[in-house]
This record gives sequence, structure tokens and C-alpha cells, in this order.
Amino acid sequence: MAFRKLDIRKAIATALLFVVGLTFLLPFLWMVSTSFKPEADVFKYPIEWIPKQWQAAQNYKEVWMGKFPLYLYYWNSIKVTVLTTLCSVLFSCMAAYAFAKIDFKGRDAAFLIVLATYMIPSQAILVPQFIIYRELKLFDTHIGLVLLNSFSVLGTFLLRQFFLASTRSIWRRPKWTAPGTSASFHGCDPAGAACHRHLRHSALYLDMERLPESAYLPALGASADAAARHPQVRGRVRRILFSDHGRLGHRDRAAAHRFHNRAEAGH
Amino acid sequence: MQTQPDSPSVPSRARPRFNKQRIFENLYGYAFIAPMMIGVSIMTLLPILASFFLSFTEWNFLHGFKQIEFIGMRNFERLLADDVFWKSMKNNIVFMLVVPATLALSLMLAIIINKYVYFKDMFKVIYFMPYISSIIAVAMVWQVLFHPSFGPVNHMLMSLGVDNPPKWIADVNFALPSIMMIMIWVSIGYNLIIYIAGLQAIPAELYEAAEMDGAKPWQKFRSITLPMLSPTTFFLLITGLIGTFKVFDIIQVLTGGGPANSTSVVVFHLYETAFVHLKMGYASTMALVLFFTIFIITLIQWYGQRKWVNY
Repeated sequence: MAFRKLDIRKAIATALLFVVGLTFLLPFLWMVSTSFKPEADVFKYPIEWIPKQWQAAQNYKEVWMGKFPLYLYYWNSIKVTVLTTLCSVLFSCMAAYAFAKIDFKGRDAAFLIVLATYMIPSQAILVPQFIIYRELKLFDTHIGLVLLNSFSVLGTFLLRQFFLASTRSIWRRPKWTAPGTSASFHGCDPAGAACHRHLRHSALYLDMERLPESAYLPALGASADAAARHPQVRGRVRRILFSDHGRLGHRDRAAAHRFHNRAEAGH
Repeated sequence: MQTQPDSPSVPSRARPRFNKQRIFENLYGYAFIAPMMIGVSIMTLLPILASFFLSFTEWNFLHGFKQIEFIGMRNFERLLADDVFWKSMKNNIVFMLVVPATLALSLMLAIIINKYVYFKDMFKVIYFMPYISSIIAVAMVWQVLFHPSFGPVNHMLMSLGVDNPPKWIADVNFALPSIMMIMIWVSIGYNLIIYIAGLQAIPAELYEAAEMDGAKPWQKFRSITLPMLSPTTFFLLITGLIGTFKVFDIIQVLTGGGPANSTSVVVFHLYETAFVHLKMGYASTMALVLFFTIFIITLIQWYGQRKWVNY
């Protein structure tokens, strides 16, 4: 009886959350509906959720088989995203582990420096970043795009917090603890070689289910933000999926192009 | 600063240990953070330092390096008299309210989704959708919802008997709260996912033990869920607050800073200065001031964590 009562409450909660969740789907539905329309009807008001004029076949044909075929953009996106995610998870894991579990000199200062680099808005460092990229010959290359998002401050911070929080009970398992000093165990007591064994066997294993969370941060960044934000992304063939209808307005892209053309001409 | 979360009672430097071990542990630490530090230094730290240098200059970057002109503190003097900048800064401070509201709502949703509904994974996807949707789509949808005379929001308000509902995004007094609501709505999905991950890491034994002692649901929430989630909350709070200071694209797309600068934020003003008016030096000055504002706010939280974050 109790079981059935619980069921009904759960069903009501599910229904309620679903109704609320519908509003969260609206932007996505708008994108779907827009993809079926001719260009002229896109910003019509009120929104034609079901297009009066259909242009679905033509739109999709042009995207997939037109002058700039999307499969190439897709392939590039996948390549850059996968590589970025691999690099970023590896670097973030290593750094987060050190920040959480290894007791080295200057640890907190180093962490604050890493965190500080997250505090500057990307628009403010766009030009110096662009110049550095050009000097390093990373401009307009895939590897440059991968490197741009391979050092995820967010991922490092997130994993650090998880390492600090979740592993505390398991890390104190007796076999890793010097006799009679269970309280003093922290991080990698048998210093040196044991560190990476800890990381491999316990931390990563325990946090395996949480790795995806830190993995999709850079993945998202790689596919959406970087491409749209950075003038480094250029060239028709190498352009990445999102750069064309990216997250920024046309003015930003115009400025970036203007800047880039001048910069190119200057050299 | 907490040096060792696991045993706060034993100061790390006082521990007797071989010098060699100490050195090895340091080396291991540096080796582990090296890739991150090197990458971050080249990609971000170097440009930041360049930007700090530029804040003492006047430079139109389209004219190349030779045109950089050192003007000392003049940019800072100009900044003090820049009304739009200070209005933007004030707006940014108000924007900080978005974070606690988002955290509370996301935590509530995370608990409900984690335990009290069917199709958990479907809900994770649904609520995450705005975060990965194009900002143009988000802006379109909210322009419609908030439309002064035809929008569903005002329709509902009028049917509830509100005679003069606000004009929302077009209203000087309501534009900022409207944008804040949209920002909360967009970031719920992300916070929710991180919170659910944190919730799943709480050992079930804790709740079982509490139940045996006869703890009520609210007590369990107060004494187990909240403290166990505090490292996650700390992460979301710090990164969320930094994020509100960096908000840009939603403003750019939805209001362009208007009406009457009521939704202008520092990064938007900075962007206009750098890429529309082409004053890179002055824009760097703004970046410098913004950076130190964020840094101080983060530092306060960093030292404050001892009081409430449970490692």
C-alpha cells in the first residue's frame, strides 16, 4: 500500500516537472521550427511556430550538400571536441589531484593563480591572445583550437572540489594508513611514487562517474564558445560548425573580421 | 587557508618526516600541475599581463604596434569620470544576486529530480537545453514571452487583475530584473547537473544512520545534504559570481545595454570601447579594474570558506 502511494506522488511530481520543463525546451523548439522556414520569416512577430511557408527540404539540402557542406564542419567539430576533451580531462585531473591531495609548497597560491586566469573576460584579452597565437604559428590551425580549450580552469576547480569532498572516507582505508595514525593520513603519505598510484587506483576510480561532468565543460566550450568568439577561427574549410551562426551578434563578427583583415594585411 | 582537509588538527609543516620525502612530495606536486600551469600561462596569463601594460597606453590596434602611446594614469582618470562605466559596474553588482537565486532553485530541482521523479535522465536533458541552445534562440523566445502587449507573461498578469503590467525588457526599471530572470533560467540546467553529481556522491549510510536516529527530512537536509554538498556549492558560488561579471552575449543580443544604459554591464561597455570605438588602451583599463573587483570578491570567499565549507 505504501509503495503505491509513493508511486502516485512520484507520478504527480514527474508531471509537474515536465510542464515546467516545457518552457526550457522553447529555444530548442524555436531552432527546429526556424530551420524549416525561409530566411525572411525567421524574425517575424508573433513567432510562427508552425511555419506558414515551408522551406525545409531546400534548407537542409543546402546545409548538407550546398557550397559549404556541413558534414565537413561536423567532422572538424568532432575532431577538435574529442581532442580537446581528452587533453582537458587529463590536464585537469592531474592538476586537480595535486591541488587536492598532494601537500606541496605554494599550492594554494598556484591554485589562486589558475583561478585568477578565469577572472578576465575573454573580450579583454582577445587582441594579445591573437598576437601570441600568430607568433606561435597556431593561428588558423586545428591544434591551436584544441590548445585554446585544453586548459580548463572550471574542470580543474570542479574535480578539485570532488576529490576533496568525496574521497575522504575511502582514502583513509586502513591499508594506506600508517599504524595508529589514521587521523594524520592525508593525500599521499608514502610520498613519491605512491602519488600516481593513488590517483590511478582510488581517485579516478571513485570519481569515474563524475568525470563526464568535467569532460563536457571543455567539450561544450570547444564546440560553441571558442569557435564563435575567436578570430583565430577562420578559413572556409577549416571553419568550425558553430562559428557561422555563433553565440555572438553580427557586430562582433564584423569587428573580428575587420581586425583580422587588417592584422593580416599588416604582416 | 586549509592546507590539509583530512586532518585539520595536524599542521602539515610540523609533521616529522624525512627531508627527502618532503622534496619528493613537492616535486610530485609541481609535476602534476605543470601542464596546467604552462598552458594557462601562455594562453591566458601572458595576454592578461599584456592587457595590464596596455591599460597605461592609448592604442588603436588596427594601426599596429608602433602606434602604442604611453599615457601614464590618464586612462584611470578618464575612468573615474566615466558615468557609463560606473553605471555598468553597479549593474554588475546587482547581477550578483542571480547566483544565490540560481543555486537555491537548482538545488531544489536537483533533489527532486534525483529522488522523487521518474525518467531522471530525461529531466536532466530538458533542463540543460537552454544552456546549450543558441543565445539567439533564447533571446527570441524571451522577447516573445516578455512582449508588453501580446506576451503570455503580461496576458497572465492582466487576467490576474494587474492593470498596468511592466514592459519588461523595454522598461527602464524592469529591464535589468528581466535579464536576471533569463540568466537564472539559462544557468539552472548547468548548476542542476553539477548538484546532481554531488548528491550522488553522498554515501547512503549517512541517511540510513540518521533515519535510525529518527531524523526528519528537514533535519536530514540540514545536517547531511547541505554540509556534504558544501564543496560543490563553493565551486558553483565562486564560478557563478565570476560568471556574472563576465556576462556579455545575452546583453549584446537582447538589449544592447539599453534602454538608457539600464542593462549595460562592464564587459559590454569594454567591448564597445575596444571593438567599436577602437580604444584598446582604455578598454584594458576597464579590464584591469574589473579583474581586481572580481579578484577581491573571490578572495573574500576563499577565506570565508573555512566557516561553511565542509571538506
